[in-house]
Amino acid sequence: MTKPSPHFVDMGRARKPQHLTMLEPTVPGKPCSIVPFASSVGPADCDVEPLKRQKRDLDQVHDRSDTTLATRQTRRSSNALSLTTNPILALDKTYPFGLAAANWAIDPHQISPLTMEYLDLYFAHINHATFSMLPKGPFLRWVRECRNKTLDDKMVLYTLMAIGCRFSARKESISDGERLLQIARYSEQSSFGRFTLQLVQARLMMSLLTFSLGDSSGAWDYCGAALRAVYGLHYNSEDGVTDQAWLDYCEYGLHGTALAECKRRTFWSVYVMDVSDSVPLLFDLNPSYLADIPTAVRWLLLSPHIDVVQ
Amino acid sequence: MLSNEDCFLRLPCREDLYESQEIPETPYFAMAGQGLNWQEHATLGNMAHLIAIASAWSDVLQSIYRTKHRAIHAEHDAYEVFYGERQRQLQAFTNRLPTHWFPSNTPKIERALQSGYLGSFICLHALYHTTQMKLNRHALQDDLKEKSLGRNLRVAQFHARELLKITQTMSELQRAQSVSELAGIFSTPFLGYSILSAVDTLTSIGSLVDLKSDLLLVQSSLGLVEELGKYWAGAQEQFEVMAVRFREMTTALQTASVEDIVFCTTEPMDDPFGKELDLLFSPPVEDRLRGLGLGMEARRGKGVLSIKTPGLGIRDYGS
Repeated sequence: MTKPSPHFVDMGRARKPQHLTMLEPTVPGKPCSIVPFASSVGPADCDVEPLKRQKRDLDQVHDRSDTTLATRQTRRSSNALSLTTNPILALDKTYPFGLAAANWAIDPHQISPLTMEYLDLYFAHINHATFSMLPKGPFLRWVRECRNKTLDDKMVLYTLMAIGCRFSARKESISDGERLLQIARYSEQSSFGRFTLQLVQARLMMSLLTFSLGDSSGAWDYCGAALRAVYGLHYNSEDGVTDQAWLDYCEYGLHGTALAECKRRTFWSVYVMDVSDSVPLLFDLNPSYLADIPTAVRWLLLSPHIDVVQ
Repeated sequence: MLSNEDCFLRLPCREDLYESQEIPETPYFAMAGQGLNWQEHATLGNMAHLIAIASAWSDVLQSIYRTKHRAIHAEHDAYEVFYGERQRQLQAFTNRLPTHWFPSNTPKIERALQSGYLGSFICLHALYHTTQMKLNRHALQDDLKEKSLGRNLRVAQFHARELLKITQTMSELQRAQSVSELAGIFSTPFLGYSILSAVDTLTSIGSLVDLKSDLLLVQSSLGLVEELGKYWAGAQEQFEVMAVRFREMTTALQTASVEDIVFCTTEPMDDPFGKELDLLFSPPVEDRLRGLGLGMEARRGKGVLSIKTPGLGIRDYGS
C-alpha cells in the first residue's frame, strides 16, 4: 500500500471544519485554496465563512438557539441561495423527502419525524450487530440538538436513513428509500476526493446499501472507495485516529477519546466489510441455473414440508 | 483487500463503554493473536472478536487467491505448514471466546437473543465456520499429503453441519418471534453466503444416510435465507439457487436404487476459485470417497449415485 501523497492529507485538513466551501481541482504541488460553493449546489443553512475561522466551540455544536428560516437567512452569504426564494427548495409538506438531490444541505431532522425512525432502524439492524461505528445515544442526541450540522454531517444522515429504510415496514419507506438513496449518492459524489470521517462512513453504508439492492459491482466500488479514504486519513494507525489537530471541531458532538474511538470503529467497520463481504460480492449465477429456478422455487413453495427421510 | 500487516490500530472497546464515552485503552490489533490474554482485557467487546475472526478469514482468502495464481508449485509441505498455522490461529480464537459465545447451542442462541447481541453472535459463527469450510475445501490436491484429503473433507463437512444447526435454531426462533426482535441478524449479507457454502459442502459427496439427515438441515435453513432475501438482493438469488439444489437432491433420493449407498454431485453451486482448487469436486471420486471412509463402496464400482447438476460456473476470483 503506497502512502497517500501529502497533498491529499492537506486537502482534508484544509477543509476542516466543513462549511459551504469547495477546493479547487487539485494539482500536485499546488497549494489548495478555498472558494465558495457555486450557487447551483444548494442553499445556505450554513455560513460561508473564511477557512481561517475553523474553531468551533462546543456551545455552537450544541446550539439550541432559534433556527427559523428567517434566522438562517440573516446568516447566509451573498453567494448562497435563499430557502424562501429558490423554487427548487419548495418542500412538499406531504412528502418531506421529495426534495431534489441537490438540496442535501437541508437537515433531514428538521423536515420529517421519520428521520429518527429511519435512524433507529439503522442502529437496530446495522450498527448494533456488525458495523458498530457510532454510539447510538450520543449520536441521536446530536441529531436532535445540533443546529449547525455541516454538509458532511448531512451526507451521513441521508445515507444512514437510506439504509435504515430497507428495514422499515412502512409502505412509504420504498419511495422514501429511493429518494434518500438519490440524495445520498449525489452528496457522496459531490464530496469526491475530500476525505473526511463522514465520507468514509457514507461510502461504507453506500456499499452495503448498493449490495442490498443487487448491484454487487457498485458495492465493491463503494467499498474500495471507503478503503482508499480511510487510508488517506491514516485511520489504520493510532496516530491517524488520535490526531489532535481537530480537537476544536467535534464530529457528532464527540470529542477527545470518544471521537478517536469513532474513527477507530469506522476503520474496523471498513475492514470487516472488505474482508467478510469480498467473496459474496463475487457470487454470480450460472445461466443454466436461471432457467430452472422458477420451477424449483415453485416446487419448494408448494411442498414446504417434504419428507426427506424415506 | 486490506492487509492485516497494515493495521496499526487498537481494537475497539466494549460497546457500553463507547456509549458512555468512557473509552479505555485497549490492546493493539497486532497483539490479538500473539499470546494476548483476552480474559484480562474486559475492555474488549463483541466487535473485537469479530475483527479477530475476520482477520483469520482474510488470511485464508488471500492464501487461496495466491495459490490459484501462482506460476510454480509450492515448496514441499508448505501447505501443511500453512494449514497447521491457520488451525492453531482458529483454535486460539475459539479458546478465548467467552463460554456463552462458543460452542454454540440452543440455550446460548436464546441468551444472545434475550441479551441483544444475536446479530454479532450469528455473524461471528458464520465467519468462523465459513473460514473453516474454505480453509479445508480450497487447495490443490497435489499440495496435500495423501491422508490430508480425507481430513480436509471431513472437517469441511463438520463445520458445514455445525453452521446449519445454528441456522436451524435461528429458523425456529424466527417462526416464534417477530422480526423486530430478531433485529441485527440481517445486518450482513455474509450469512446467506455462509449458508450456501454449507449446503454446497454437504450436498457434494458422501453417504446417502448422511444426506437424508443433512437435507433436513438444508430445508430448515432455506426459510432463513428467504427472509434474508427481503433485505439483500444477493440472498434472494442464493435462496433460488439453493432451492434448485434442494430439489435436485430430493428428487435424486426419491429415485435412488436400493443398491445406492453413496452419492456425488457433478458441479458446485459455490465456485469462486475454480474447480481445480475445490477438493469437494475436483479429485477423483474414488479418492474422495476413500478419504471419507467410504472407499469400499467405490471399489465395488456400484452403489454410487451420481447426481448431475446444472453446474454453476462462477467467474474466478480476481479475474
